[in-house]
Amino acid sequence: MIRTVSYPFVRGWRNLRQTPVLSLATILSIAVALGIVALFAVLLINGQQVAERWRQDVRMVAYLQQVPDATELDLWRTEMLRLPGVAAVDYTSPAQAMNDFRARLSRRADLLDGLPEDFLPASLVLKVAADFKNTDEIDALAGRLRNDPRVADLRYGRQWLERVSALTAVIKLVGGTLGVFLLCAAVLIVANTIRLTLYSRRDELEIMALVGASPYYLKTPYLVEGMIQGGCGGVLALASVALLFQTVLVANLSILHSLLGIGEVLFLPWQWQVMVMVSGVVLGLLGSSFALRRLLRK
Amino acid sequence: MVRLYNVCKSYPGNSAVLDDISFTVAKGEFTYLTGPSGAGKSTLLQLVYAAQRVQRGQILVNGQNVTRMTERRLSLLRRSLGIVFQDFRLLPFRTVFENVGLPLEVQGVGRREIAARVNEQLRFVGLQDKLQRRPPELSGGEQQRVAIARALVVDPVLVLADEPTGNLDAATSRDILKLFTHINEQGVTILMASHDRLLMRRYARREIALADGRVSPPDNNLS
Repeated sequence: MIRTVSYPFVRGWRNLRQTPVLSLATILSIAVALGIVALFAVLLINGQQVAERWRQDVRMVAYLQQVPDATELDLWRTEMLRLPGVAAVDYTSPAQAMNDFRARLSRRADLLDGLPEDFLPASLVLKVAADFKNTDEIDALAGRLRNDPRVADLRYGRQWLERVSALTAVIKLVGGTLGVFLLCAAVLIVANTIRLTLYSRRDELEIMALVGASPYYLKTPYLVEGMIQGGCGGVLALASVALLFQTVLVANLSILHSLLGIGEVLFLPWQWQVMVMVSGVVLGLLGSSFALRRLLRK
Repeated sequence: MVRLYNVCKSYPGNSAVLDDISFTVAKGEFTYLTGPSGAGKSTLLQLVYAAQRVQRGQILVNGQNVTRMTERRLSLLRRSLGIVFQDFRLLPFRTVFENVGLPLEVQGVGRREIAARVNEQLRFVGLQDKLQRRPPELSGGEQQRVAIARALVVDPVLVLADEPTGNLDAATSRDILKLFTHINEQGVTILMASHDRLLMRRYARREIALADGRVSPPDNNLS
């Protein structure tokens, strides 16, 4: 019983060792395919992190038609806080706006000399709630504010949000498309490797079938061989991406992240890492199943 | 033991290799399947052990219809058959012991039982001192005896032999035929394809003659 169960594994392992070059080529092919997909996943995770951060930090500046008095300001504040998605409202008076502008210009602040203190408009800075995530919701809020007759102009980081969202969408699309092609190629490569192994052992398989070997007995070693190759490819892919992440991506993405005020650069979560390895095993299994279906059909 | 009903077989682009073949081989019988080269002897044997499938007709082996069997059931049936080939079909990189034990190994039989049954069969065919040799180190006659031991190790109800003496000299062929006679005396049914008229005269048995894909009267083929 133990021998029957262990046989496919022993035999599958022996098959691998008997064709080391072919097996290595297959493992490398799977590793390249999965590695590229995993690399895109790392970029995607970090891109999404940036987008998420931007979304959570969206501020809208509503420039007002006229400077409100204290009563009006309280009323407006209360009104705006009632709008869906508005978490906080801060008022910036024309004088404060001028001071802020001066501070930003620093050495060249003298350019503002001679301008009246109320040169810049008063504004309300609205902080968008963290759970108010997608651009459609933010656009809807902006639309309501624009239609408010008290608001002269409205500014918010819509373009940036769209760019980051577009970038993550592109990463998803390119990674997904490339991934599908590469994974299909990997399945075909596994299938061909197993097929070559099967051809080289055709006589043996035929004799085994004639002396009563069951389809299970004939096929499982090759399925196991494919799974081992796929699993090794998955581990190799993960190790390569981890190495690349540590040596190249952390340094380069860190610069971008510090510019955007975002914390650490993320690697694949453990669930994704397990998924990469399991995908390798599944790829190997698929490849060997295709090969076996064709060769042992009769 | 073996029943064929109106069996037809042809290959694409060729005329029928076997055309409307019907016969019965009784349990315990030793039957020759004769005919000139290309008469369809090997094809017919392959149909009996279902290495090929019939186009039309039915084949019953030990009461089971092999023409409709799944791969799984076929593998179970083959465990009760012994098959011997003209070219021996031994695995060259495995020892004599491993070759003979192969049918038991694929059935998941334990090591001890395999050792006991393989040694018994190797003694029967007179090769007990060569169990660690590999087939290329043996003579043709010895290789055929290994193949016979492999066929017998499962205690078959039926032995199908496809020209087992085809590659052997006259003296060795006689030894092999004696071995088959001995096996048949133990109650095993044998269906053997052969065109060796001399040997068949010496070890005369029932004969089913094939000519142009059909069963013909045996006397017509004697020369």
